[in-house]
Amino acid sequence: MGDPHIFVRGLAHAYGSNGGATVALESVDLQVERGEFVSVVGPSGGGKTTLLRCIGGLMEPDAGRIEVGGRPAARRNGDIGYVFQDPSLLPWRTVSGNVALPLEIGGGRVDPSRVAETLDAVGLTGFAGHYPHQLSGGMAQRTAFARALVMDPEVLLMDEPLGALDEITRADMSVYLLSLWERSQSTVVMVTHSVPEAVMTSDRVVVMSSRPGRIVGAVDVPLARPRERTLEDTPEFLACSSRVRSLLLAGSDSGTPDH
Amino acid sequence: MPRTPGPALRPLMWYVLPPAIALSLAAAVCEAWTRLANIPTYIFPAPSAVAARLAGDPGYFATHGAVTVVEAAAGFLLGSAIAVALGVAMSYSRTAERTLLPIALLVKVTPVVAVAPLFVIWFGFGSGPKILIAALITFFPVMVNTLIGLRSVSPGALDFLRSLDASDLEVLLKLRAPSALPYLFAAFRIAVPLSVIGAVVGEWFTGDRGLGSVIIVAHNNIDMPTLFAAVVTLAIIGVTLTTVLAYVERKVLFWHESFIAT
Repeated sequence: MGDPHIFVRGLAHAYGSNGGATVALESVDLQVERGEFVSVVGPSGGGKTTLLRCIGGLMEPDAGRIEVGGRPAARRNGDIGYVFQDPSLLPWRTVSGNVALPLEIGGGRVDPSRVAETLDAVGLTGFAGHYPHQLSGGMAQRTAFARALVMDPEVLLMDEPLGALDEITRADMSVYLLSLWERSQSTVVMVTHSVPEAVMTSDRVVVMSSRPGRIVGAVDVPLARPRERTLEDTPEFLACSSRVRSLLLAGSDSGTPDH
Repeated sequence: MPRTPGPALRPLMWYVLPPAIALSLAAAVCEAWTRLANIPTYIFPAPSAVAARLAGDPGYFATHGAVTVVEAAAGFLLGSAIAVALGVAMSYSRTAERTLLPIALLVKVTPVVAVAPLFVIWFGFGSGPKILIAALITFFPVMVNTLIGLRSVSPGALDFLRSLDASDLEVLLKLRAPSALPYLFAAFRIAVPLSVIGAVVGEWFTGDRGLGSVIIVAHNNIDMPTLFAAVVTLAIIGVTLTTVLAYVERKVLFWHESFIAT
C-alpha cells in the first residue's frame, strides 16, 4: 500500500508530574493508509483522545515519532480537519460563518460558493443564516462536520463526534458520516466508545487498553461498502463486533468495557 | 434573518409604570409632609419646588448636565481604552499580569475623592481633571473583566482554531475578543455610572461648569431646590445611560446565553 498516511511509532505520554503521573500512552504504534477509515475504541481515560491530539498536533507527546503525510505532526499546514465531541461552534457566528472560519485563517479569501457547497453536502442549506443556539444537537454537529470538511482536508480526526447525541440521532448520523466520507475519500481516525459505531464505519478497529494506554490489537472489518443500517444484524457484522469486544475485555483491568 | 432573541419585549409601559407610580407616591408623601409639617425649604424642598426650578430653567440644567455627561463619557472611553489594552497585554503575559494587577489594585483601593484635589493641582481647572478622575474610577472593573473574558474561551473552539494553525492574533480577533464581550458589558454596567460619579466628584473641587459645581454652589447658597434639581438631573442621566447601554448590549450579545429565550 506504499507509505502510510499517518505514521505513529513509540508514542508515549504521561500527565502530571512529581511522581503522581498518569501514563496516558505507552509505546503506541499505529499506521493508517491513505483513504483508510480507522476507529480507536477503548475504555474511558485510555489515552484515545491523547493519541488523537498528538496526531493532530494539538499537543506534544513526551516521546515518539508522528508523521502525517511524511511531515512531523507538529508542523501542520491546514490539511487536517478536526471534529470534537462538543461541536464548539462560535455562538456569535451563523452556521455559514462558522463553516467559513477555517477559510479565513491564514488570511485566505472566503469563497462563498465553497461554503454553500459544503453546507449542501451536510444537508444544512436552509440553515446557513441560523445561529448555533437555534440548532438541534444533530444539526450543530453536522455544522461541525461541515467546518472540518470545508478545507477538503486529507486527514479527518474525530474525537467521539457522535458522543453527545442521543441514540437514535447517533445511529442515523453514523451512516450519514459514512456517506460523507465515501465522497471525500479522506483518511480518517475516529475515537469512539461505541463498538457498533466503530464496526459500522471503519476499515479497521484499533482497540486500546487503559492506564497505560496501549494498543491491544486491531480487527479488520471486511464488510463491503457502501454500508447500510441493515448490516448491523448480519453475522459478519456481529462477528467483527464480538472480536472487538473480546479484545476490549483482554485489555481492560476490570474486565468491563463500556459497551 | 436572526430571530429577535431574548424574552419578548413587553410594552414599554409594563416596565415604566410600576416604578413611576411608586416614585409619584413617594413624591406625593414628601409634598404632603413638607407642607403639613411646614418644613423649611432650606432643609428639604417640596417636590413641587424642585419641579418648578427644573421647569423654570431647563436649559440651565441641560447645559450643565451635558458638560458632566461629556466629561464622564470622555473619561469612560479613556479609562476603558487603557483598561482593554492592559487587559489584552496581561492575557498574553503572566509577567505583565503579575506586574500590572497589583498596581491596578493599588489605584483601585485608593479613594478617588482623595486624589481628586491633586488632579486639580496637576491638571488645571478645565475638563482635564474631571475626565481623568472619571477614567481612573472606570478603569479597574473594565480591566479585570477584559482579562477574565479573554481567558474564558471555550476549550473546544480554541482547540479547533489551533488545529487550523491560527496565529495568536487570529485567535484574539476571532475567538478571545468576542468571548470577552459579555464580560466587557458586565463591566460597562458598573463603569458607566461610576464615570458619572467621577465627573461629578471632579466638578466639586474646581470649575464652574457641570452638575457637580451646580450642586456645590447651590449648597453654599442654601439653594435647596436647585441642589435637588441637579440631583434629579443626574438621576435622569444615569437612567438614560443605563438604558442605552442595556439596549446596545442586547443588540451586540444577542447570541449569549443571557439573552436567549429558554
